[in-house]
Amino acid sequence: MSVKYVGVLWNKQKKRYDKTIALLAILYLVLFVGFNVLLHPTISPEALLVRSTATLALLMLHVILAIGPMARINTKFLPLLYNRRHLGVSMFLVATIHVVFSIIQFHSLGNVNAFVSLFASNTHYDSFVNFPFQVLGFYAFIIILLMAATSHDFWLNNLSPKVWKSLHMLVYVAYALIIMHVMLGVIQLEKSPLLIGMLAVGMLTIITLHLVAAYKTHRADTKENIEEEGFVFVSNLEDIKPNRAKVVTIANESIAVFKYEGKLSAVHNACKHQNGPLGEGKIIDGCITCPWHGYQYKPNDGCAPEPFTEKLHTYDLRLKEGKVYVNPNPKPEGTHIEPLSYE
Amino acid sequence: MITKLRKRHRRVWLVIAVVLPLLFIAAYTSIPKYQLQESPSNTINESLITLKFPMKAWLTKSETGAYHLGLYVNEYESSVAAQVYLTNIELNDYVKNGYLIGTVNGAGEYSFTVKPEILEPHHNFIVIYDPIKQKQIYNPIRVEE
Repeated sequence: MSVKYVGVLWNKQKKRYDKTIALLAILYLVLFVGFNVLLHPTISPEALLVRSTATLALLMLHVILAIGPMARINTKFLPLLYNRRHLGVSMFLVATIHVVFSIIQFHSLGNVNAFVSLFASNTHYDSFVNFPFQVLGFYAFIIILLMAATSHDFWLNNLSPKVWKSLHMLVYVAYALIIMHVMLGVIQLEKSPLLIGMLAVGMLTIITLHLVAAYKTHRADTKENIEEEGFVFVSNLEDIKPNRAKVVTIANESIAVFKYEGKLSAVHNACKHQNGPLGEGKIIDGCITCPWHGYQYKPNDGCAPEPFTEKLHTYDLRLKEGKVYVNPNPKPEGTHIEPLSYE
Repeated sequence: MITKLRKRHRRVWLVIAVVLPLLFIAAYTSIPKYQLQESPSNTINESLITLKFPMKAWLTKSETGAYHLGLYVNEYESSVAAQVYLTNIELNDYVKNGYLIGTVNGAGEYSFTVKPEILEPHHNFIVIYDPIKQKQIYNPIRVEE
């Protein structure tokens, strides 16, 4: 969250995170190159570059896709979610090296345009096993390129949440394309049981994490609400952690009830920025902070601190015998409601 | 995430959870069941630069009874690791009906251990095949004995 556009929004934590990403990436590349040179002394430098960046980008993509569901399953992983955008852009840079050098190595030596060669050197588009697998990887790269290009705050603010989120959900299509790029390409040539096994484990892990997270949120969304005089039960007071929230879904509307400084406040659970899950965020410096991009709101009136202008719906709360209830009828956006004190 | 978005995510992943593993298995089971040999040993032989032909292949039998196929690659212009097939060029689609015995990725001298059961009488040509562009790189080379 920034008043003006800046190239990269770094703070101390993000710098530490980015340095860790860079160090781990370099360590991976060194180990990959070292082992390959030892095991396959005849391997060419070009092949090493293409393969090391391919496997690194694939590994990073798996980590990126695991962060979202992990943070929904366990809030301990939320700090990873706050920094996911930088990891995504880093993955794009590694994938770019792989794509550029693959096109140079495999398609630029003849007298045909490299991109024409990419699409026309293998035309078995009607075959499953002989399908031109490089085309799958290329389309996946186009999606990742669009995501990286629109990840900047300028695009976040100027594309509508609906368009931006739809575009970025294409990462799942890109993931499927990349899995098939590997299975119809590299695996057919290399036949390495280690590679196939690791890919299968990675794919099943990602699928399982997303299904478990989806099941967890679906169960919460469809939970039967207990009503009392127009108020709906949210949670026992003791079950809400300090500076965190409990989320309740009533008639498809999600409400986040925050507990902070001996008080309770309720706001609509969707961030005005990109519909991020505010209830999965926490109170930082007295403000509700969205886990996706750090947008902030004051809990008592749902207003973003000045000079920002975003506003959320707020809700009346009631506390009875240690149980927290919310009135599901929203107040107009930005309406101040005196926080409910429980001390 | 808003409820609508969560529902969309859930549906997308339910589809992926069914379709992607099926495609994965289909791709895995369609891997050609060639008899891939051990990785070849490769040493650059400078004297080969004088050869007029880009390749030379020969078959030898060691004292232990094992068969070795030697391969000189002089002028290797492809940038991809190519597959080496032992085949009968009289066959239709003789690349896919041949035996995959290893790969080459540059000029040099290669040695492949060949299983006796694939040494059929008329399988006496070596074909070098680019698996990316799915085409032969050189004309078939007769194996000398």
